[in-house]
Amino acid sequence: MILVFFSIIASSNLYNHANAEYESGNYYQAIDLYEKAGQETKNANIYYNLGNAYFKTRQTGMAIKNYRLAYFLAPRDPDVKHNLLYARTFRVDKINVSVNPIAIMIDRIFRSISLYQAQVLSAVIIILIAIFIAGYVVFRRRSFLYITFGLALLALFCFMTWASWSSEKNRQPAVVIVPEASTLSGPAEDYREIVKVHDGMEANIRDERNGYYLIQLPGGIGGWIRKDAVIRIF
Amino acid sequence: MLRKIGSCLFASIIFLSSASLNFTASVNRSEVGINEPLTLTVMVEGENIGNVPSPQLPELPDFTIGGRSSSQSTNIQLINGKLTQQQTISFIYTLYPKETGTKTIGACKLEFKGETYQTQPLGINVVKDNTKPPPGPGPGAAQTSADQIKDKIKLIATVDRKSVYVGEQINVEFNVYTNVRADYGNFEKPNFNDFWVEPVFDAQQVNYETVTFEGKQYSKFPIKKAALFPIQDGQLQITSMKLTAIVPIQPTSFFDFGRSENIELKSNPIYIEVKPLPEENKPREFCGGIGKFSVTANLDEDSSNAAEPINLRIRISGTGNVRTVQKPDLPTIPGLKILDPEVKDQTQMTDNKIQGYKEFLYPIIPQIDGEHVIPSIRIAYFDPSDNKYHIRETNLLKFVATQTAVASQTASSNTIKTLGADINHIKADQKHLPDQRFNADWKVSIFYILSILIIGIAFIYRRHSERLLTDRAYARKIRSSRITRQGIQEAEKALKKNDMIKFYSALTRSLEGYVGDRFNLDTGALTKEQIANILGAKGVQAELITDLIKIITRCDQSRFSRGPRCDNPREIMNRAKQIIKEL
Repeated sequence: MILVFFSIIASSNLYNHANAEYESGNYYQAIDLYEKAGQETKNANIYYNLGNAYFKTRQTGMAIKNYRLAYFLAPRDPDVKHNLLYARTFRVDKINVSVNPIAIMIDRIFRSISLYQAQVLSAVIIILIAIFIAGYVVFRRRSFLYITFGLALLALFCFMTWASWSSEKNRQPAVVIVPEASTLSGPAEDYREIVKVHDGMEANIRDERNGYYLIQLPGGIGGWIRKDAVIRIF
Repeated sequence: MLRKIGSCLFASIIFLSSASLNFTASVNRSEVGINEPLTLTVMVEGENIGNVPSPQLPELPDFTIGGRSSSQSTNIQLINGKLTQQQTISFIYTLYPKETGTKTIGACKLEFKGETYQTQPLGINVVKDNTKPPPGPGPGAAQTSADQIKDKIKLIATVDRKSVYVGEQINVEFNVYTNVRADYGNFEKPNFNDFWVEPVFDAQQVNYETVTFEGKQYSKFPIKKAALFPIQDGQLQITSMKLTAIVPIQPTSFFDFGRSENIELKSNPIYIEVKPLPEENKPREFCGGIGKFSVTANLDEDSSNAAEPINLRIRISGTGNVRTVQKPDLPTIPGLKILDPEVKDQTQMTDNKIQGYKEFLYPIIPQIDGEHVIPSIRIAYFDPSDNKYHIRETNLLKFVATQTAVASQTASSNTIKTLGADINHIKADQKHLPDQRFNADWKVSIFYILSILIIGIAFIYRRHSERLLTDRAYARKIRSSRITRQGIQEAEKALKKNDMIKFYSALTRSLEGYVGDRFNLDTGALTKEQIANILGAKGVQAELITDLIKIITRCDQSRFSRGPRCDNPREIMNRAKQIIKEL
């Protein structure tokens, strides 16, 4: 317990120190300190500021990775959303995938709370539902049923949010962190080149073999890429 | 004369040890009249001499130095496949001799790249007066010297007035007066820095006109005419215009093949006294106009639908500094958005005055429906002819706007302009950074188990209370233990008081009651044998039944017969409790 508390203090010290380095323009020092703070504590502020520091040193891929982690922890933060979108405009590869407006709407609804919040909230709601069902069973009051119904809708929302976040994690997203890399048709160097990707490109990892990842780009195309060219987000 | 002309260009050239640099000095003539200028040219030739310093002139006690200048030329040659870059830098000095006699210009010195170069001294014969009487006009008259020609060709600048107000028009003219045939070149514009300039005339070709100037007949032609409007007050200068006249010198003998003389013409600088505008009675509406002006205003349409812009045209026209007139101040009119105007102007020169108009086209966007009135717009100008400010104003203008609300959301011209984009700044310092997790841990699942338990308990409780109401046997069974406990307590109380009758009756009642409730029997109406049979049928142990019957019998005996209390009542009590527990 004391150890945990100590580490929180230490990471906030690291974080504040990193902020000072950032403000005076020493972005590389700031990156080191934020990374250390991030090993101790998972916090959206750390990831966000780390993303900024990477962005300032023109490492778009690393910036996007950290913004996405910050988004995972604090999906309602407008700064995180803005910087993630802004950093994506700095990519060499422009993706022209038409996004379904319904998908956007669903995304907006189910990204209003983070995975952790959804999990805790759903547990609390389930307890409340149980209490009201019990109340109905004992006292036979109809109003308890209505409240239960409302709570059940909330629980459904939480579960769907949960599922939506989990699916995002399970897709194993990754970001390209080298200036340029080629994806090949097989997991070795002598395979045919399929597409060239650049720093900041996001893709999902489908398979893993011989030091290569099979990645799928938005829009469906993909290929095998060397492991050191990309970094997993989660 | 021939000798003199022939020796006019006297030069001495020294070849110094270093072949890469030539350092020479020359004068344009070896004989010069007193008060006449003498040009000393010091030339440096060579490769890579771009940063050569100025040469050191010798002591010149017999001359005054009138002016100096330098010129540079570069000659790039490809000889035998080798590129040579020959540079020539000339330092030109104008010298005026002080007294007559044979004078010497000493050696000029030049130090460059650690070496010292020297020119040979030059001898000059200064005579009393070199100017010959001017030759009579007419063909065949020999033009012998540049100085003689100089009198015959002049560049004169004139202005029509020398004292004006700020912004008042001045006409300036540059004319060449000449009596010789010449070509002109090297035109150098005068400096009009302190004036707003309206060019009126720039010579494209020479159109002569015969005039009398300073008592002599000249052919005159204009070089440049302009209207100037001073921007600031004070003494302003119109600097000189420069022009080179190339005058051919007619051959005077068979051996003279003719040559030409370059004569630099320079106009006289002119000083203009510019008065500031009187501050007294200066109207607020003063638009900067000096002269005579009028103003008109009109709208291009008299109605606007859906917030379409209407153009208000304000035209200030008149004589004077039309182009520098400022835009009139429009009042803010509620319900109208007036945008910045589009400005157009046009001027022309009529009777030596600049005339024209300046037009301001204001787009107006109505923001509310109804009739809008544009009040009369006033401008003021200064008239230098009567030294007074005058005000002119426009008529009232009206127009009708409809359906402005439809477009008001879209036609906003006040949108914020984005100048650039960047990432949002980092988050501020924190005292404590809470550890936010990606996933809740297993402890959360306790809540789910707990919720199932809550519902389960609720159902069990519900079932229990329903049976209490409907199932008599169940209800008796639930209640039996409570009643029996009460009976036992009563019996214990009686035992403490040593009230044996009460003790035995309470004990019997609770035992019988318990058995009745437990097995849903009406024990009061049953004999001991019947009870024993029924209990036996319900599968109760025979031993237990015998004990029960024994206790009940004992109690009855003790209650009804006044026999000796042979046995310990406490033992009976414990036995009864045991039976209840085991049943």
